[in-house]
Amino acid sequence: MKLAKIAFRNIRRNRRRSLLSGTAIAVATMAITFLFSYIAGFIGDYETNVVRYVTGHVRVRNIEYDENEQLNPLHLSVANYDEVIRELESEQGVVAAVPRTRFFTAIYRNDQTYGGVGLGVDFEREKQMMKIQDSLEQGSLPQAGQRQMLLSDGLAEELDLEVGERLTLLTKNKYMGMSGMTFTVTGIVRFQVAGFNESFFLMPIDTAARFLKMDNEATEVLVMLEDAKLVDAYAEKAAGIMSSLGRDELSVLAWTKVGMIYGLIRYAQNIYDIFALVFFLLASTVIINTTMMVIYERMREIGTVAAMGMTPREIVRLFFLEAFYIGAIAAFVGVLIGMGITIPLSRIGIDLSGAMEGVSLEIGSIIYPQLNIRSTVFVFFYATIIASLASLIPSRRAAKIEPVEALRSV
Amino acid sequence: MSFLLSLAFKNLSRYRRRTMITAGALAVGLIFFIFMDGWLQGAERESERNIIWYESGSAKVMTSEYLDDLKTMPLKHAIENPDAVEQVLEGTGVTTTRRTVFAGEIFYGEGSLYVKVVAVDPQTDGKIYRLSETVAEGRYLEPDEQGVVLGEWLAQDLGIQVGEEITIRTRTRYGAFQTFDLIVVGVLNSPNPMINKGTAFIPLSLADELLEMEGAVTELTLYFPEWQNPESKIQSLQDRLSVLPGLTVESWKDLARDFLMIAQAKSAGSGILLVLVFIIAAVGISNTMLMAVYERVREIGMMRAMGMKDGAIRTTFLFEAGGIGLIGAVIGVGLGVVINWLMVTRGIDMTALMGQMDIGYRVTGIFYAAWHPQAIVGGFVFGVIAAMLFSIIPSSRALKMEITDCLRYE
Repeated sequence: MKLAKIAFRNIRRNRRRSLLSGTAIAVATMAITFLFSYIAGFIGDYETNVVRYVTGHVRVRNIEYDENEQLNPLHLSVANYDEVIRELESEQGVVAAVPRTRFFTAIYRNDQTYGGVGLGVDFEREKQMMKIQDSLEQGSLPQAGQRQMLLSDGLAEELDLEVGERLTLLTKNKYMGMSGMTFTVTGIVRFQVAGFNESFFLMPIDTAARFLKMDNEATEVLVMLEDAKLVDAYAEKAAGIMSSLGRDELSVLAWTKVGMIYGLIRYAQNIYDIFALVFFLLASTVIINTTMMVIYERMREIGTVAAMGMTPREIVRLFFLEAFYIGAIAAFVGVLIGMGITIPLSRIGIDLSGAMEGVSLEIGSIIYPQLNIRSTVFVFFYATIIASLASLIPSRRAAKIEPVEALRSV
Repeated sequence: MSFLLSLAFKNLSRYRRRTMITAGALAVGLIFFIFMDGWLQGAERESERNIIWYESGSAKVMTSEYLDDLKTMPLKHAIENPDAVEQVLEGTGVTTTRRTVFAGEIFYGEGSLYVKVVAVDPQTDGKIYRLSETVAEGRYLEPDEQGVVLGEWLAQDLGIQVGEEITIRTRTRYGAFQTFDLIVVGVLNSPNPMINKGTAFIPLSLADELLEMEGAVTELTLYFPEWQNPESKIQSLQDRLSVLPGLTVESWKDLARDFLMIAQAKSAGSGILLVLVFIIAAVGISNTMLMAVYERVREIGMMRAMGMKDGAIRTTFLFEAGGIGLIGAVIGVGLGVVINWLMVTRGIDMTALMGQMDIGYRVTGIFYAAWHPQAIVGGFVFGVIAAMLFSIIPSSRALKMEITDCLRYE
């Protein structure tokens, strides 16, 4: 109890020294908080985009569709998707279940052929999922059943098309025959995902069905959940529902098992964890260094208190407490400043869009750093512990020296 | 002056522990900076090499019309007389190979896929491109054979094995449809995902005949050793080629602009990392340095009391700080260079981390760093100067105080 008091008094007495070692710890903590938030933002962004745009949390497809995906086998579809969605939605914790039909087209314009990827969607349901309304740059959403479409701004630019103009598409329909249809462009969207901006366009799913000669069919049904952690449990339940409906031709897949997307995320995470580790090491050496410096500089003081009868164990504890207090306060301040930098950035975002054009990954153009337990609470404890432990190295050595020696030291 | 130097030196050796801790802070900061920078540089170099070796060489000669329409790959804008181009370029130290690139549709089994077909001259292609080293199955192309080599993802998408037959449909140079059957002789798995995803390679002589090219090719790939800064070389080649109107030389940097933008986005991200490393290291250096001098205010007071001139004291401390900076920088750069050298020659083996992961293209699992002399020299100079600068603040503060206050200072 008395030691704690002395420790506090020491910290206040050597104000400059405490401040210097405190700043080192605070800056190191702040940098780590920011870095972790940045990484979390980067990866979290990638995850949400993949889920919203590509895989959903759970994906339902025809079993054979996957094997032939690149060939765009429209006949291997999810038939009667209304029923499938109704059943999927009846479960707890579902944010949205949406049908999508993906198809490839050739676009003829100004004597040139362009490739485009079409997506038939249910615009009403997508409000929860892809949130197209937020990415709409000009114009309005197409009406269900009308021959209307939305263009991604990359495609619109390439085709030199504006809202209100008409466009003819050619595609292979469900029966492998050719179909053509003319659409009015009702709006232009700028997707959050750079890869989608290159070649995607959207149309109402019933229009797409007519165009592709499909009939209440979608190539896939995606489900988004409130809680991403429940994906596996939900996928199992959904598979049960499908088989109870007698729909054995459908496969239900959690997004973590779709292709290599999740592998890529893990890969990125690993690389960033290595960066974080390097950072930790550097920050630790800075913290250890300043703490050691502070104690070694006070040899004479240690000699004095030792000469006055303080036992070596008490000396070690005293310095440990001092380092602990400084460490805790500085780490707290550091995390606070780190949060102070991160929170506004997590709203505004760090804009990489100029640099991300032409990137076909599902990474958004703007990175929003995210605070989480790891980047705040964990970092706080980490810094406090490192600082306290670092005091042990010099103080244990100092406590062992004879008081006379310590008094004579410079 | 020599007295001051020897005094500074004596001080350094007298306070050995303080010297080592302060220099240690500097050294650690530098080591981390060099390590991080070398690694990021290495990653960038590697992606650049993947473009040069598998996609674009150092530069390409094309007709201006072809370049304008690069996306649609129009055969009608081919280079009519590649022999003449090669003659013009003779003696410039440039290696060349011919390629014809066109769009085709591969038919296999039930469906079809649009791909980029690259006709290569198997005899000269290997001088620039390293495709033959990346054959995963089967073998590389032989001249004049009716064979095709596919990227691995493409082969997987089509579900095709080596030895099977595919059909490619395309339009000849004059717009007529042409279909031809080819045996798949090999599958490539290169570190460049573009190659794996949607490219098929066939012998040039075959393409020449089937596409009615009559000796024309769409591009000549060039390779020259100074590819990292190709601008001046490109200019001189362009000047030489002006005897053949309509031709243009495009460097890999311009051809791979998309990629370079990604690289920029990435380096914006890794720039943040470097800045953070720098901040932490700088705080570590400044704090230990400030502390080292503040602890000696009493000593400064004593020297002033004994009649030492302010200027002389300032110089001594500057020398001392410079000495600490030098020691730290030598150790830091020395160790940093050793670590970097290990990372350049041996690489960091991350197979254990990456082993289970299938991200679809060849990742060796070993990351190599690259040399970045500017960063190393810059780090050294910065270390010494920063140490000296940070010593000025506390020593000139002490010089402003009354001598008696200095002596009483704690």
